[in-house]
Amino acid sequence: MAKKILIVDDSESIREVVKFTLENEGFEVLVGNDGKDALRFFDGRDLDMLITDLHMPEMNGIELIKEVRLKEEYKRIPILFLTTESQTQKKMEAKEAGATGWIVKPFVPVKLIDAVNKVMR
Amino acid sequence: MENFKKKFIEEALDHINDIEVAILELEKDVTDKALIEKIFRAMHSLKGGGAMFGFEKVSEFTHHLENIYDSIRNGEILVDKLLLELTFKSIDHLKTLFDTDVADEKQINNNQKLLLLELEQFLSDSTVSEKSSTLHNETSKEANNQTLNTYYIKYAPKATIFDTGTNPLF
Repeated sequence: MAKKILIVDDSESIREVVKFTLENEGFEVLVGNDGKDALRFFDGRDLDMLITDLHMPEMNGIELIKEVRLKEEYKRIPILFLTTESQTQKKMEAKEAGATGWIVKPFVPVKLIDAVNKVMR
Repeated sequence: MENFKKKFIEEALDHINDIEVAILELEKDVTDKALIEKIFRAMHSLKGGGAMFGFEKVSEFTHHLENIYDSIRNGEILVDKLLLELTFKSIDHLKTLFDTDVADEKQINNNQKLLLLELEQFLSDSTVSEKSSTLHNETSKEANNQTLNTYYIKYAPKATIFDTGTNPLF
């Protein structure tokens, strides 16, 4: 069965390019527009990975990661975040919130696939 | 990839439009934090998407604006008339970066260079004036505090002090 990955970003173009890349690799991809919108997917269903942007309206990525980690069923789901900043500050915050790793934007498809395969259980 | 690019251009034009509307609102109340946050986020998306979809000039340009608006939302710089003017100019420039009818690449490049210089100048000027104003605040604070101060004075004369006829014990 295909592994399920949820991608959360407020930018449709980024969502689409990630979705396209991952579907090509045989993953099943779900999409959320921001943290708040993404929370509806954490309803007990099987999810194999979360990939989220950090800067988003409504609920940002760090808040989303914290919320997800509070849920017993998703305590161990691999979480990658997308970041454009080389700033260590945001990375530290996201790691502390419970993220597994990060992908720096801009990225080429192969870099995204590598990162996903690296943390997929 | 072309389809994603097209989608990004649509989004980018929406962001630019959002910034324009927000700036017009900000002109009425330069302290509106929600508006500043909105502008910052739009700049951030333009920077990230620009880099992602091959619009390097957009990405480079918005990177500088993003930094300025980051300083503003952190309370390090205040919004003033010059900044509003520069942002309006920047919006016009961003529009030309997506306008395929504007063929004069050289003029666009020059315009970008000039605007980036102006933005840099603005950033260094506001940082300096901020420094001098904190300095000024500290001095005036010190002046206000000069009601009662305790000083520790250390006086250690050499033994030869008596040779000149001075009597420190007197």
